[in-house]
Amino acid sequence: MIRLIVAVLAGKFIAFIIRTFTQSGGSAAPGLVALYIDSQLVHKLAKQIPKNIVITGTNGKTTTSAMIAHILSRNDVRIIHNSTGSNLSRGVASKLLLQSSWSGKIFNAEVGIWEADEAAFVDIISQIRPAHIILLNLFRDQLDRYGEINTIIEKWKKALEKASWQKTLYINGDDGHLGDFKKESNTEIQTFGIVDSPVHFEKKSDNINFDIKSQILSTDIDNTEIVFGHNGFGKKVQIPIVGIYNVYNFLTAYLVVSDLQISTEKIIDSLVSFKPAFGRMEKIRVKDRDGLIALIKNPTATTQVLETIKPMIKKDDILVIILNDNIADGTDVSWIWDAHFEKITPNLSKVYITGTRRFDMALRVLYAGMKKESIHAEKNIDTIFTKIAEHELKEGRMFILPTYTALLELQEYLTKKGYKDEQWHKEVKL
Amino acid sequence: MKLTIGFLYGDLMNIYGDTGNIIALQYRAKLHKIETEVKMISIGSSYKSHDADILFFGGGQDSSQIEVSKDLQKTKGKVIKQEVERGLPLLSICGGYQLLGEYYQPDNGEKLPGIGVFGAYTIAGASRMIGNIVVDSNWGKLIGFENHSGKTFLHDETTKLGSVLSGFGNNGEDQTEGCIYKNAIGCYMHGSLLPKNPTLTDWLIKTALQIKYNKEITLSVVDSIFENKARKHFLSED
Repeated sequence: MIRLIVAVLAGKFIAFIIRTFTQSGGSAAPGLVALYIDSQLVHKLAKQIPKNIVITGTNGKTTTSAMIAHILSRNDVRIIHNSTGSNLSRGVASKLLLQSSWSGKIFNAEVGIWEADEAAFVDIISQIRPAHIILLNLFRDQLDRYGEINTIIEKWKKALEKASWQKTLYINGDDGHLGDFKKESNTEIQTFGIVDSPVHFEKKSDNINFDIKSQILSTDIDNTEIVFGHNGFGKKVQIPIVGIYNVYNFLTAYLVVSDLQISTEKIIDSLVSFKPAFGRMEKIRVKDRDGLIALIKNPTATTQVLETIKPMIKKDDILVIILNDNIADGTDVSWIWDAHFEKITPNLSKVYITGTRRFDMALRVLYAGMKKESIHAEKNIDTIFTKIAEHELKEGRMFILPTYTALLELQEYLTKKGYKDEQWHKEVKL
Repeated sequence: MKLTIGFLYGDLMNIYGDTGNIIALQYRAKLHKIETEVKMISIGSSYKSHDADILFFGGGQDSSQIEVSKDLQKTKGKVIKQEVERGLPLLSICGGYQLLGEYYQPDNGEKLPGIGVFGAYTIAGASRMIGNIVVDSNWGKLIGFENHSGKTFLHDETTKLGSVLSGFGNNGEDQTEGCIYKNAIGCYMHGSLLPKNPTLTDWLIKTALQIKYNKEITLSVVDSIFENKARKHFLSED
């Protein structure tokens, strides 16, 4: 008990120091220090929350947890949520200790929503012991950090076999990598999937007996319309976020929120006001021109983004790519050669590129079939927006694809210039 | 004129943008007005002499590497060796490079036999060698990105691809990077390698044409402005 109190106090103190001297809200540092003092801190705090949900997978964690958080909040459920992408144990610890009293009591949370990095997942579930676990998908991503896919699956399996508490696993039934998690007496499994899914999984599952199925009706810049249901296709819903992969994110959010006793009607009603997580198909307006920001971070997610925007691109539209190679982006930019830029180059007439590795990206789109004179590499984002304002027809919309640190820079730029009223990334992970 | 690019185990061995090398070969060949076709040569497919005019062999995850090693030992390894002796240009990277050497010795576990195109062997290392790499070679400065834990050592009589100017190279110890035997090249340079090293790309194309059509070939000079910009920017920052 004393240990927990010391850990919480130390964490809160570090957070106070950081806030006072750096103007950047929370971060992973308080959690890191607190965990050093009490390695069981996450367990001790999380067990006070009646229900916990842990979400992992390569792509879609942030959007799925944001969707669950949104639906629950709209229905007056008090939540606690590591909403800033702080998805390592230290990020979870930071969030918990900031929401607890100095004596280590969590009062005001009914449901904990925890996004977990694939590698941190094992540790996070053993600490939190969540009743709801979501496995979204698994793609090759930063092999140097995560190791091979098979290794990750084995680790997940072992951790879930060891997990003795009662729980429900929500598994993407279309992803063949996630095919053989065992049903055990203390584990219920629910699967979700899309009929004739256009999403390319590394390993496609051949089992189509999902617990909840959906079919895509239409997709445009504002909405993805689907029908879905347990038996046949019962309900029609508009998911207010573009991108086929977001259908999976919705289906799993639906399943888990239903298990928390929110009715289908209430879920669909509250979904209307859902806004995409920052930089995930987020709409902006710069100098009277519409734009859509979509984070790119690995070959699969990037190819999905390209497939999503391809049908939306009109003649005068402009693609903007920002490629950085800072540590949070991955210092290896070779992944751009595994993303299928060939898919959209025939539809495009102009590409503007910036970022620390802009010339690598210029070469990538050149080799993908863009004409030299259509490719503009510029030193910074301000020059790009200025040039677009000067040279491009005002009907042309911008599709902006930044890597992770580029997204942060872009948000800061947009805020500074008054194109955005909130600086969302105040709580960036260290 | 036409070239067939043989993509060795392309379904299993293609990480860190190795596919970019195939894209680059196709792009530059097109500039030189040469038709290309990519042929996947993998487990379950047949491979015989003259099926391909250039071979490319990328890197893979450990589990794929074991399967591929077994397949090479059966029949394909022998054909690849004959083709290299015939002068066929070949580019292999990381895992592909290791499997074309004599063997790979993991930390614990059985030695993985290679096919011995290169007089070199690889031993598992304790730490990963990751980062940008620049190598001084017959093709000028070659630039790429390496990410490997295996340490490759060349025998005395084996020719290196070049000397490391920055980065780790074969083993992080002797300043050598890669290996050449006849027109076959092995190295640790992902990146992707060929897009930012067009001199090497053009050499592979030219050599393949010379072997295929059995005559001296001179490629026309083509525009490399974007390639050179990327090179210049990379070298000035590195």
